[in-house]
Amino acid sequence: MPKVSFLLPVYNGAAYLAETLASLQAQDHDDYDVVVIDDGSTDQTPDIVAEFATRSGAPSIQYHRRAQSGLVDTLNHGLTLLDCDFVARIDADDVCLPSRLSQQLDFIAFTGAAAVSARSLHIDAAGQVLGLSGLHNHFDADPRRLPAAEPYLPHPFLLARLDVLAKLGFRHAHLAEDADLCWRLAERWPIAMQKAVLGRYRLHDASVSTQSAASVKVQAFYSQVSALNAVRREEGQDEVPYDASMAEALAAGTQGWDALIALLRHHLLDDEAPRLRAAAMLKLLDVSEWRGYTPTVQDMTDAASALRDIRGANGLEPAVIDRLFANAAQTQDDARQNSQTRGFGERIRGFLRRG
Amino acid sequence: MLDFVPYTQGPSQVLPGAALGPDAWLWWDGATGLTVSIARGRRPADGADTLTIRGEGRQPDDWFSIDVRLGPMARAVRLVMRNYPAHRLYPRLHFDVANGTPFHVNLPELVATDHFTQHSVQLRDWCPDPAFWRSGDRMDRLTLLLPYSPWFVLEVAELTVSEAADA
Repeated sequence: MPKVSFLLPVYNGAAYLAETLASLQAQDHDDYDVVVIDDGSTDQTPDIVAEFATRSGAPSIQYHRRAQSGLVDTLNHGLTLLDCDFVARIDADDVCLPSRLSQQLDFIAFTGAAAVSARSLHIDAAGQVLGLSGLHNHFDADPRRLPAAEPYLPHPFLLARLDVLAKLGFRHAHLAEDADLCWRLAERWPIAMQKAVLGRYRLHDASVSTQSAASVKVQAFYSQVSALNAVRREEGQDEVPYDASMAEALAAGTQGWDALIALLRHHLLDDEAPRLRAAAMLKLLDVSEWRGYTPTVQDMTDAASALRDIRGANGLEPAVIDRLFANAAQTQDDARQNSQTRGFGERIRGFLRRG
Repeated sequence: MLDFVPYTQGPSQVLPGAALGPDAWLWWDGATGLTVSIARGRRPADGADTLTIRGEGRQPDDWFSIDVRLGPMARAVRLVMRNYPAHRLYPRLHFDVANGTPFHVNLPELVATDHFTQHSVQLRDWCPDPAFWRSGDRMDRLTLLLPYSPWFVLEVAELTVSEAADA
């Protein structure tokens, strides 16, 4: 039984899989294996895995193929196959630095945490560096803030105890299954974020979270649903169920915020819907900073309008909101070079100052 | 200065004043809910002995520090450690005076990291008056305050007080 297993779900990942597997085989720690769960790929994924699996002297690679069922079911299936102390997550388009495992194993032992993650360089499709991921302060997590302050551990570089992950499992919080997991982790176990940069996180056109404006909206929305569920668990209430399918969620995301809210209309209390709407709209501005999504003027006016509907609500922090709008407006100015949007951030800030 | 002998690989719960060595100890208010343990460990890079200090149940405003006694000839304190999650340590130099009220000086914060890092505090830089050394007053101790977090872990590999200023 290895100390660590890399859990690598893949669906049509041929474009970058070889680079990912090479980085896993180049780790400076030797007590680990790699478990690839192929979610029904139709490209060269099986061939690439087979080639790496036959390399002599390399760590063992187990390949499991199943009918396509989506990321969450693939991850949960993977957890049932593992026999190790720690699970190291990795996606098929990301890259580990050679010391990832050794540094993370030392860090998780040092902190006594049940799950840890690390910083990464954001890269584009060609591997060019776009920037550096931030440090999330999970000690300031607050699900009642708007948007919620998450106890977030970057998922592609998560290292966690298998017994803990197996107990919690992944849930269908569409494109926000990592946020949902982090809330549930942090409620019961210590988690820790390492300062070290231990990988490269790729943002490209086929990334799960950069596929479409609708997917980014779905991700923003469900991240805030997961925070709402953290509040409900804390208050001993039933959770909002994740019972919509991914297809339904993406269809709703295409139609807009009302459609997303409507997915949950039978489960939301009267005061939860407008808060959730505002939180999700603000989260959209937040994720746009690092998801390669350029918020539209409509996104910002929607968010401003939603804020007006909940004016005076608990959890609103003017400095946070000011930053989100300013960054969104700047992103749009930079992307569009559209003179009509210049100064939009300042106008929004004025709107908020006037209350 | 560190004394590893009293501690084992398994964590032992300790009380305020728990010694890290003959002139260094941990300090917090024992009436709070903070519980602290110390275990003996090894630094991965070189196998050197370490002391791992864990705290749980700390509330905001609960004091927790490493205190170091300073002799009359002390000139520098060197500490090699890593910690989590604090990103800063706040050193405070305490003075004992022959006539009057003891006082302290808050020194510039030290950047703390989750990698082993060497911290060096030059004590002479912070004496308020050159005449101080002839007055009979003296430096009493250096405290290293850990900022608040609900739980924390420190791993100390070296703690020395030298009679010559560190380079």
